[in-house]
Amino acid sequence: MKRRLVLMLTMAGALILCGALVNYLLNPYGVWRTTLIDPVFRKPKDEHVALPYAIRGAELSTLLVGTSRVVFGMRIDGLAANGFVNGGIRAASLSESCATVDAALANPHLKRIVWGLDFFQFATSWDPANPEFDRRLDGGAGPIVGDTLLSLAALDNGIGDLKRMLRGRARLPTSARAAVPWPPEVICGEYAAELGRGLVRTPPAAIVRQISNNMPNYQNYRFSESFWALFHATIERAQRRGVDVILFVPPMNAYELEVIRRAGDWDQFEGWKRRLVTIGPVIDLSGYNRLAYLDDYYTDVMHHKTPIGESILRRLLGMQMPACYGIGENLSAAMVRLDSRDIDGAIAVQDRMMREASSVDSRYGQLAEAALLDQRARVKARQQASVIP
Amino acid sequence: MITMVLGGLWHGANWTFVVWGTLHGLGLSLNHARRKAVWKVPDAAAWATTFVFTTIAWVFFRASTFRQAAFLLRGMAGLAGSAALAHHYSIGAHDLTRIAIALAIVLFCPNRQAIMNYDWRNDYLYAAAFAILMAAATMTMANPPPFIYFQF
Repeated sequence: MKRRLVLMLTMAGALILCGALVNYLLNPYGVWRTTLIDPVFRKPKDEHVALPYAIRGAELSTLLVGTSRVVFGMRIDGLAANGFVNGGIRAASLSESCATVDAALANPHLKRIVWGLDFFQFATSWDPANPEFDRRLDGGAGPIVGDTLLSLAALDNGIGDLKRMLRGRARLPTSARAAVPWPPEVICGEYAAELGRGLVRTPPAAIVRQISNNMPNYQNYRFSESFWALFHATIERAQRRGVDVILFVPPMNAYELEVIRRAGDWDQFEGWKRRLVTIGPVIDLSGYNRLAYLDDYYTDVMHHKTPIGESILRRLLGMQMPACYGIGENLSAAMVRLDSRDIDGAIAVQDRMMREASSVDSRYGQLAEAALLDQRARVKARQQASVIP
Repeated sequence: MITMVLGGLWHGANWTFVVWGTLHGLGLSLNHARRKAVWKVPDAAAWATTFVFTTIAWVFFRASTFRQAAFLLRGMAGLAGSAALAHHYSIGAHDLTRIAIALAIVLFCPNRQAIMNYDWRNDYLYAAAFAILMAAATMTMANPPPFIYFQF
């Protein structure tokens, strides 16, 4: 019996040590100094785990912040490349984004923040708390050991990285091999490969499902003064630290704009933009501009395609956008620089475009209305039986 | 009966848990009575009765209030208006495959009691099984699922 017990404990200890050693060697989140796998092959599955470690890295110079529109729209597979760190988080709450910025401000290498702002992040209801993420940002040995050494998720991630390395650099996507900000020829190649895919090919019933299930619920939107104060204070801290902050509102498809308008939130949407310019100039790509109707620019009702986001980043950094497929021309035509001096004029133009759009019965409006009805029915059913997840 | 009622209460300070325990106590009592009376029931009928009975009883375990339980029971009987949820919770081919695999495991694999009755003579095999479970448990400690008995 004693022999069996000793064997059990020895084998368990050896297996755990082996797992930790493999995690250390594969180093999927770049926490340790091991370089068995080139960072270009890294692809963390959960940014909540990997991001806190990426923003502490010495290579951080520019931080991209935002929600999934930044995660997918300016995709950096390994989170960090050429001084850029994609600090976007899927469905990020504003407090998560602000905590990310605060943690990055502690990194002396940080020079610039590019922040993609989303209207829904400022809603009182949009506050998924994530104490684990906060603990990781705070640092400490506990989360690091748990996340990177004693973790099956890290092992799974590391094995994925190893497989990518064995397949070779040539099998990586072009954007992963290219320097950030991505060169125009890379963006054009990516766009060509994506042409005719995504939202443009999505059937109406699936669009209704996407709006109803995946889009934040804009009904009963209430602007949060406390989130605004948090955002304002975070920007001030960044500016005091001498970091250049570039704010932008990503493009929104006409489906999302119709949902906002039909949910009765248009005035609040414009009021939010008015608030933003009190902090500083904002590059605005949202509104009923030509981008709203270019379905081929979107993977789904919420997200623009990666080459579009990559082009936007180039423009935000003062670089030339790609000329292929009219990307540069379309983005330039839609892009508006909002600032406190001419905000009234800019809002008046956006209002006019909204009224023109609402005067016609479009498929955008029809499907948005169907999705809103579906959302209301679902909310009602959930209220009746809150046990349903 | 007393054990099952207390067992229900042990899961949480709520009357729904008491009902869940009581229903299981009743079911077990009825089964013991049937055995004493030597009343043979065909396997298929026994399975179906047990499955439907426990599925209904578990509603009281999961629901926070009797109102929620009633809503779910009405829905299970086809009487509630849950049609709006149909496309969110409908079962596809992928789910059916998983159900089929789970059913095969239930029907054809040994259960925990059968495994514990095995004669584990080989120390290495025993220690290896323990080591695998221990390592998996240790390496998932960073992301524990929420504890089900949080009400206490």
